[in-house]
Amino acid sequence: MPGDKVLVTVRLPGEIAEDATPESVAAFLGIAVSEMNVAFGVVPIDPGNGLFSLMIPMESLESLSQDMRARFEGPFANPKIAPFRPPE
Amino acid sequence: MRIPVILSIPSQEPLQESALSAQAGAPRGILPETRVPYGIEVDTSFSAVPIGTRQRGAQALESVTPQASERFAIRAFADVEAPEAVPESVEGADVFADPKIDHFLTCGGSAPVGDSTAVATKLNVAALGNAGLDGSDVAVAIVDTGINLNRLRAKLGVIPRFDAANSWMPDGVTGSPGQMPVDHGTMCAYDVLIAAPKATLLDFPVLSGGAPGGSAMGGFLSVAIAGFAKLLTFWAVAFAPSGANRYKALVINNSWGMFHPSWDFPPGHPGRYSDNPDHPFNKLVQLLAGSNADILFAAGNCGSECPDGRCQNVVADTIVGANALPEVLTLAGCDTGDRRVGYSSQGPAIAGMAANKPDLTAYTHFLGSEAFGSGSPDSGTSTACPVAAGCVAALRTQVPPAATPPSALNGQLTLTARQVVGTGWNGDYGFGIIDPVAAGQSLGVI
Repeated sequence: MPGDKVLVTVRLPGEIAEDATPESVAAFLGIAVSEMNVAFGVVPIDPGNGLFSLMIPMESLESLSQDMRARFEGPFANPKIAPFRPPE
Repeated sequence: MRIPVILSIPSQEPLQESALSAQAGAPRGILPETRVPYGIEVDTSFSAVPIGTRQRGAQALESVTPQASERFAIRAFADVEAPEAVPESVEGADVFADPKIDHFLTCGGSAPVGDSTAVATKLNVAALGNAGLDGSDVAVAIVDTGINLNRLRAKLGVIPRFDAANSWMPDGVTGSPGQMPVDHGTMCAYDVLIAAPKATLLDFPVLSGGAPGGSAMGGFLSVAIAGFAKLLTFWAVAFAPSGANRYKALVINNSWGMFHPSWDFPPGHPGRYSDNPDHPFNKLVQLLAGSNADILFAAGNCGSECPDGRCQNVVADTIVGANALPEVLTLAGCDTGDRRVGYSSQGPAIAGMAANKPDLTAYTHFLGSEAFGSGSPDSGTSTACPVAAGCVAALRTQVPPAATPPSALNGQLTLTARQVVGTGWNGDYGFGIIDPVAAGQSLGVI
């Protein structure tokens, strides 16, 4: 999913992680849902440890408070991938 | 030093007889009464070949009949100190090199080498089937461009088992699971079913052209992240207790990856994918493997002899990202003659990931699904990966992951692989060619 939204991970507290939706996570972070890539959503990476992935603009990330920013890692690469189809 | 040579020697009756008998289909080799130069050991199994005169250029066909030929070629060995010491001629015999020659490697444009029946024979699928190892109740997720069941039915004569409810469509992709255009994913599905004809297919078309950012040439890793998260929800009972209990095992086929380092963040960036086990996708793969899903990745098509053009001639450190995680089984490709195909990426993997990649080799470049047109081979390490995934699925019919987790099964597969070059691991074949029957015997299910 290219564009201006970057791939990041966020560590959510238990009560948010239990039912992590774009709406609940946006409310927790204090950003608008529309700032997130809703199609990508809030993807569980290691939900047992509260780790989720989402895609938001770099500016949104930078606007977060220091405490909230500390919950994030990234941005991570979102490289192009391709089938190893018959060699050209 | 014994060096093979070809001698051009003048005609004599025993040479004519040798050539005539070979032409008649009853070769007698070099006859004992043949006069040969002193100090030369003749290969008596190799019949004389009439070669006409010493004259350069074109010769009349009549001059190379056994009766008319002035000279004959025979195979021999010269015993010399060094190759430079081989004489130009010995007692009227001209001495020529007899260099080792070999088939050209199978490359991208090569014709198919064998067919899916040959692959089934090489894998001894009959023995797997006799032991009840056919993939029954094993789910195989094809993370690719999508599956076309009609095409599979047309090729196989039966409709393969398919689980539409537990398949997944990325946002923006039109169509339905199992009804995607015939393409790479259908090829992969066909190749899984060679060894595991009763496996249940799941369709995860993350590389569909309709996926966000996708095109016919691929997509973006974030779509695979979303797909794997769905698989995690489907499979990991810790998170979805009612998820997938009706399956004995989940096998995930990934015949895709990055072709060139320029597709990633630059070296040293903490968010890089290629050599960073902490990238979210790599973490997700590790978590899923830790939940006992068997995950296979193709090594790639950047082999040194004939790399895919998209490799842009980068042929070292090309096994990267999830394809190079220790938790996954990484597949190189060979043809049905057991010869590594020239485009199969070679190890070791990129620094920072598991070095000894690929793990194993499986068959590719054979006539199979013909997904890319009549007569076109199922090729690339894209094919080797699902051939191996089928072997894993077949074994999982009787080898539960709770008792033999993926790491243990992968260990057995590498221990029992058929060695091609020496012993141990090498960058071309990994630990050798996959041998599911040997693995099944080692695991006590055959």
